[in-house]
Amino acid sequence: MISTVTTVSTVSTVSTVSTVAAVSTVTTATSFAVEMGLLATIILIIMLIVKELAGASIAISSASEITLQGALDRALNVGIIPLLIVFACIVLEKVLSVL
Amino acid sequence: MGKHTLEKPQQITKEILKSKISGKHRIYLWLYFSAITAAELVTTCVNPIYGIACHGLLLFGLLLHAAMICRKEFNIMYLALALAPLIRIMGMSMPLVRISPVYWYLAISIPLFAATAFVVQLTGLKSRDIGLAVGNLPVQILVALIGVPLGLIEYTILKPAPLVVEMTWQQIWLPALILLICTGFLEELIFRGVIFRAVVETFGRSFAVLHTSFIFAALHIIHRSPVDLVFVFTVALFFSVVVNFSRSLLGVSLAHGLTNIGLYLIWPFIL
Repeated sequence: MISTVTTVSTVSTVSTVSTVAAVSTVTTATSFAVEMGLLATIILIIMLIVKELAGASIAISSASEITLQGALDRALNVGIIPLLIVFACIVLEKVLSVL
Repeated sequence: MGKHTLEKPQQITKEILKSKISGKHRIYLWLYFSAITAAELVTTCVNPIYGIACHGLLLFGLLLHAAMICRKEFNIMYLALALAPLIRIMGMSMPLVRISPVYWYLAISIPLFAATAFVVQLTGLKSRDIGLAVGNLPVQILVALIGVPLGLIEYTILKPAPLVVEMTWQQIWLPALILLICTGFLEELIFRGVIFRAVVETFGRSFAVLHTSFIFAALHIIHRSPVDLVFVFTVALFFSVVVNFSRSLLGVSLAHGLTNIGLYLIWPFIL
């Protein structure tokens, strides 16, 4: 299962009833992992920008009622928190590869 | 008396409005299911990069949709559903090249546990709501034991290579624990715990059982096996029904974990 992979397609062999396990396999060129990491980082950056904009508009309006911006500010954390963990792992992996 | 006669048409109007809104969200749920399926197909058949981009868009759309809705039950539903694209994004983007395959599941589960915990906290779901209860222990143990034959059936379908070199206790205990917690418990918590509970509160049991099982099966398209897809959908239906009646994730988590343990650590050495 590990040796055949050049794309995610062979990931299939890794898991089963497990959705989590659709993991990219090792032999895939590092470029593939880099591209995926880059994409995740881009998604994270977009979410952080939107969160920042939403947060800024809450500060301007200073309304006590629940606004779309306030709700968006909180909802985006659902994506931001795990993506931040992935980003931290990518950075850690890069640091370890340099050392 | 006059007031009473005035209230009745208002109540009927409210009911009609409520059912219209409910019907609209029902359609949205199926549209999101179709979008998840499409993103999985792109990931599997076209290009994983495009697939993850689709999942990213879907995640953003679900979170935006959740933020735009004032009614709590619908808000919870979309937040919970956002965990589905997150699963795929985490699985694909986590840097795993230097890690042994045994620890992949552990690495991927950490951000997913964090996201799930945040959704639970944000939506105000109680631990009992999401099935974090022991329930009827003998029944839960019986359900858990079903994982053994399920693992065997799945092995005959997929025949994967084992995760460890040999079947010894020293080699197996840690991967088994990881599979139990990071696949069994985590996925049951996400699908039969959070997503199922969020949908059941709004649309009732039968719809929730069906919808959650479809989403769960859709996330297995990546394994490129139609037989496995049918198998996984059936298992998901069964697990959802069990959780619905027992209100506990214990049995199904153990069964799910045992299925994967059998598949990767036991059956490859026996058969």
